[in-house]
Amino acid sequence: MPVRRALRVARRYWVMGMRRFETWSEPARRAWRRSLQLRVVALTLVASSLLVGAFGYFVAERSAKILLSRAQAEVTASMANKVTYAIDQLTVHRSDKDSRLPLTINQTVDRLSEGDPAESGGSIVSMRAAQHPDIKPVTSPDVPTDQLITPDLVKAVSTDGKEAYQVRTARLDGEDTKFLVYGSPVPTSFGHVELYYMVPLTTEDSAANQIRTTVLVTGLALVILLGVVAGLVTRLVVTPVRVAARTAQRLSAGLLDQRMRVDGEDDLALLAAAFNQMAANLQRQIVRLEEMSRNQRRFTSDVSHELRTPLTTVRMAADLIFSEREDFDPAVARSAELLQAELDRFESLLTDLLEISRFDAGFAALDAEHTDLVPICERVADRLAGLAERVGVTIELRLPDTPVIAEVDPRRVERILRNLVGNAVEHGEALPVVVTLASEDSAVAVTVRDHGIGLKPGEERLVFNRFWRADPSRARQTGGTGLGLSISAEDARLHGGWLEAWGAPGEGAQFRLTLPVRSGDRLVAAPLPLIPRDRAPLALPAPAPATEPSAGPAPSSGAKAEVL
Amino acid sequence: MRRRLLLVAASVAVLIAGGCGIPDDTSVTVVKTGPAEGVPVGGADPAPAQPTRESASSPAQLAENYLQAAAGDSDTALERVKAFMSPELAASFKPTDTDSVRVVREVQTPLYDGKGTVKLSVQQIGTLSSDGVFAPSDSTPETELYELKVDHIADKQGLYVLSAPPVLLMSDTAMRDYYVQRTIYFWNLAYTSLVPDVRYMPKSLPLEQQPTAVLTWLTGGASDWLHNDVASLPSNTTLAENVPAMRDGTLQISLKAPSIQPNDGQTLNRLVSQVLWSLRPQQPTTLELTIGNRDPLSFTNTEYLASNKSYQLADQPERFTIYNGVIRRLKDSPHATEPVPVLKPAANKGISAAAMSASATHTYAAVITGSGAGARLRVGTAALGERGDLKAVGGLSGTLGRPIWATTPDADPGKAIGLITANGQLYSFRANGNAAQRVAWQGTLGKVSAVSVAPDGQRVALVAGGRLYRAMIDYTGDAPGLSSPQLLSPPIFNRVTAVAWSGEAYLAVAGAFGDGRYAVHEVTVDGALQLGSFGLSDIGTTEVTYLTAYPANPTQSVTSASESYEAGGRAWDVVGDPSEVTVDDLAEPTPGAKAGAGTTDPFFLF
Repeated sequence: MPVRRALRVARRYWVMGMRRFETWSEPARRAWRRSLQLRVVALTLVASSLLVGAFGYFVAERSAKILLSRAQAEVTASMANKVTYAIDQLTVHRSDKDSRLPLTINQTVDRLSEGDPAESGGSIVSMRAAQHPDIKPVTSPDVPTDQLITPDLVKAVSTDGKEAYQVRTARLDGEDTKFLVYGSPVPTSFGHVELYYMVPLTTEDSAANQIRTTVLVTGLALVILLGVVAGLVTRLVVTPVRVAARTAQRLSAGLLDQRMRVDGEDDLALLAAAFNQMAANLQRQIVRLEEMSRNQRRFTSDVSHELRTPLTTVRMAADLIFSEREDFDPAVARSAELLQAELDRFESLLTDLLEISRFDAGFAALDAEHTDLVPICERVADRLAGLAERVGVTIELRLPDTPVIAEVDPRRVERILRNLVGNAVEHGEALPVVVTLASEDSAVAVTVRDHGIGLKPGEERLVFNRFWRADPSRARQTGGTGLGLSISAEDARLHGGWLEAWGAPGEGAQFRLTLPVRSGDRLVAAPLPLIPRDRAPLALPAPAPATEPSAGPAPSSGAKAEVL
Repeated sequence: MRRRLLLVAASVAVLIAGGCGIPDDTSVTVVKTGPAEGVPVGGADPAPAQPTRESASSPAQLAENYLQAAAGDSDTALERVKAFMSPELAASFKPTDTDSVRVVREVQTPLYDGKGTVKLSVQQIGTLSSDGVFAPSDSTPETELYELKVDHIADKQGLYVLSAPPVLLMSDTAMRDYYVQRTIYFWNLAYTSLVPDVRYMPKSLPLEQQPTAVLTWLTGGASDWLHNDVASLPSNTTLAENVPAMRDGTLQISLKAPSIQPNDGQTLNRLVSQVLWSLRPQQPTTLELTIGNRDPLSFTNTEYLASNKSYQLADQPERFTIYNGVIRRLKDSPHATEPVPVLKPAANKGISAAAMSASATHTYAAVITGSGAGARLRVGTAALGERGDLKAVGGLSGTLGRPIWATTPDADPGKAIGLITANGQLYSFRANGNAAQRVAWQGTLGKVSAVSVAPDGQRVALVAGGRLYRAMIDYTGDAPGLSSPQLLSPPIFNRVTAVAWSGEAYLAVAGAFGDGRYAVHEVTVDGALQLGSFGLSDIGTTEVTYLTAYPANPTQSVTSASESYEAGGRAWDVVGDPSEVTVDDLAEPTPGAKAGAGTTDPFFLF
């Protein structure tokens, strides 16, 4: 269809034009968005232009109307005399065939055009008789009047017998002149003839033009003045605000000693003073909090270090006792075993604490290299096979056949996976644990799925908190320190990846680790869904999950959480 | 952002600049209904219809009609004449003079020779010009022959004139039928009286245009024969526009008269009197006179009437006659029982002729005593109702004619002047008895046998050598003079013997026909037309030696109702039939007189 094609072409051009316009006007729009002063000045200009324009239009139009109506009144008065005179002069003719009628008309027109006051110089008098074709029109001075006396006017005056007027522009002597053309019938014994009186509106026109120019110039000056005033006033207000904004920006950038200058005692000075006070308070608080935080972290680190040396000594002694336990009384032997186990736990706790404090202190560094993730997964499964066997859980690996190469720190990835799989086995309730690996161009993902008790709503974020437990009363039987998921989350964050959790009561849980293929890339999507596909279809939707705004695909149901 | 500002500013500028100001063109705005349609002016006497070419049934009739075609509006005279002509002739017809029409008197009716030619046998008696002035021919009219070729032309109805003399001709009957006499007035040079100037106005001229025509004539100046002895309007007085039709008795006249000073009431009054008299018979109750751009002046009074001396003429004149050498009043005339004015009873004897005139203050008498070579002219003057002595006037010899008072001013009796013929010459005499002086004029005339002065004191009718003349008295010199006399050719008379002013525009003329019979007729002051209904068409073979008339007051009539003549030494009245004035008509009884005895020399107190 040609119409459709044409529409398509038009639409394309329209779109192109709009795009070009947007590109072209981008600087202006940016300036508009960013500058309050510009907006105020522009709005003032627009508003005042409209106001002044409307007012100027009103004044100019009124004055033109007044001028015109005054001229019209003068002409009406003058016309009344002329018509009276013409009526008198034509009383002597009984018929339009009268041989002296042309003479009378000539004389009358001459006399009427002579008898004009000097100020209306250039006026034209014409007498004609549309109803009596025998009577030739007479005009004094003899100029063509076709442009001035229109058929409409002739109809109004001659046919309808009305006194009427009209403004016309005619080109006389090479110059366009406006005329007020006034026509009136002149009754005679043989019907009526028409008298037209054409007065140039030169004076009125130039007066109207002068008024218009004056109004225009005044209006423009007023608008510009208003613009300047608006600009100055806005500047008075905006400048301190800008200073405040800059100061606030610097403050937020960490330059806590930035202050505003306080000038005078006005509202802006008050603002500056309040701002400064706020900045000082904030600075004090921040410094104090920083100090506290630093002290706490140092305390943790110091305690961990300080504990390590005695622990080593205690360890060595415990190892000795443990190795000799068979020689002891069974009760003592049992104690030695307990001591050994608790020391193991203590040691790993201490290791985790040190790791955490390294993260906190910002000392953790990523040692990224191109690594195949498939062997890592297999190794983790192997290492935990013994534990799994003990609790009756089977670990099912769903790995691609080809290597999955990503630029990651293998040690940390292994630690994350070990942690996740270990947790899954531990809470697996003797049900299978599935580890799935998948990759895309820019991201790789590993999910670990268990079918244990699952997570209650809200817990999927709490699981990453330090020392968090689903059931605080539950005895710590399994060897976890309560810091594993925190460390894993920190590791994932170090990679620029995500670590997310999903779970529903009775349906088990799934954790997903998503990492960029190239170190430092920004993640946009994960190759695997966070919510497992094998989820029981009859499961009721969980209450609205507390979703993270920056999370990946929105879950249809169930709880999920992520850690970046 | 600057662009945006520019945009706003520009749009505001466009709004102001384009949206207001005086528009180039607007639609028609009706203010009100125009003035009411004028009421058609009451159609007064419709102009008599002139015969047209189509109405002519015969070539002779066509020629008659042709001679009437030029009558009427002078602007369209040529068109009317051309309407009689074939298209070829009309296209080439160029009369020698288009401004005036030759007025001819037909000697005999047009004669058709049966071969397409009509012969016109006419006398040219004068020319009528577009300003209504009829100028008599200088000499006795000769009979002229004109030929008109008349025939049918193809595809057209009726007869056409195929060839015609290159002049505009009009018969005197057409002039009589299609014109009306109007007198306009000019002041004499002393501004003591208005002098009538007779014009011919086409009857086709509508009533509304007549004032305009009259004013145009006035501003155009007097007729040639009056011109030197009357005052023109103040110099450069012109009528620039029509005089509107009279409305509610008010006539508005607007003149341009730069030489009239705004406060010159005398000149204005004279002008108004002159205009009002000239407008008669139209009599506006109010005259609004606008001079230039000044405020209009309004005149409503009737004082202007007195400025024409003819207005002072009485309805019934005081009549006198001479019986037995004594001046006697006639009965049935006013003051019939009073004594004869001026003359003391003792002086009232042996009188053969007399003339009397009265001004507002004095009465003047001029009498002839004795007869033949012993005849003497005596004059006397006295205040009204009183008597005075008669003084003999010297300087006259030979046969004396009848005296006549030409001018009798009020208050100053010494300036009264009379005229008398003596030995065929004209003399002037004064009331103070100074010697008579010969009245001079240019040109030669035969023996002057009769003289009559119009009431205005300026216009004179003379009979000299049996022919009728008119002239103006010139009072400016030491002795009165005459303007060059102008020959008048009244119809029918072969020889004129006596003349008297019958009205402002008419003369009563007595004369003889070709067969020697005498008649008295009223003819126009230019001799062109005869007033057919008046006068005595046949009074026998006795020569009328003297004719007198008491002129008509122009507000009453155009011709006199009181005319008397002397024929065969006896006095007669003109009243339908000749009626002799006998002793029975005298006011006082005359003891011993034979009943029916005749009287002589009837005269009126002017």
